[in-house]
Amino acid sequence: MAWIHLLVAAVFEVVFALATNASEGFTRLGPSLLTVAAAAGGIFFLSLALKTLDVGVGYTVWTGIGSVGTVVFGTLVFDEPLGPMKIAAFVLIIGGVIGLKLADRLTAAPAPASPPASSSAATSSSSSSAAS
Amino acid sequence: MAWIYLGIATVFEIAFALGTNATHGFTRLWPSVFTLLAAAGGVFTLSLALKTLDVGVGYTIWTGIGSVGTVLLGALLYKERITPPKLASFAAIITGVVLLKLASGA
Repeated sequence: MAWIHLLVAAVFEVVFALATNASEGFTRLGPSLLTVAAAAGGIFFLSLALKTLDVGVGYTVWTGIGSVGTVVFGTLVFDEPLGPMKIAAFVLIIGGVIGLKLADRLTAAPAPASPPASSSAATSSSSSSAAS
Repeated sequence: MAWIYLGIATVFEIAFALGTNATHGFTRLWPSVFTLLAAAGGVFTLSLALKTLDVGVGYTIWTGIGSVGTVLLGALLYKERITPPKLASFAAIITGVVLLKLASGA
């Protein structure tokens, strides 16, 4: 659930980044309101994700996905060119996010030593809250 | 001047991230107040920096340095463990964010 909260927070972050730029130092009303609303949504969902995730993991994933989304949006909407460097950057960021997701599961798994493999779903959810 | 604003915005951003972790889903008053003030300060100074800097450049530096600071201070303040797989993943994401900045051409 924390990772779903994190994805929702990242979508808000993309909207926030684009709206901040359009607000021109908060001199334009519409984009300024959108910036504040998107920031509030992003922060709230990030705080929910951080109830169980490390702040280093949650924040880095949040901004990593936010960066990818912002560049993808710029490419689609503003026709900014998408060269090999940007694609390499996407691979690094998305690979890193997947790595953190797997590492989160691995560090959460060893905590409860009691039951054997039968109830893996229950142990992984309880251990992730114990790890925080 | 835009780069000074960007530096200030980055400090606010790290304070914001660490503060968010302490709010427990905005159920605690003072961490929540601190977090919202840091977020507002960060957004305002970032928007000043983006008056002259490109959004791709400003945003990625802001969050790139914000990530490094948050990971390091999260380990120091909240005793978060940085294992080798996590370190590699952090490095990949932050490198990717910086690459995006370079590719955005400024």
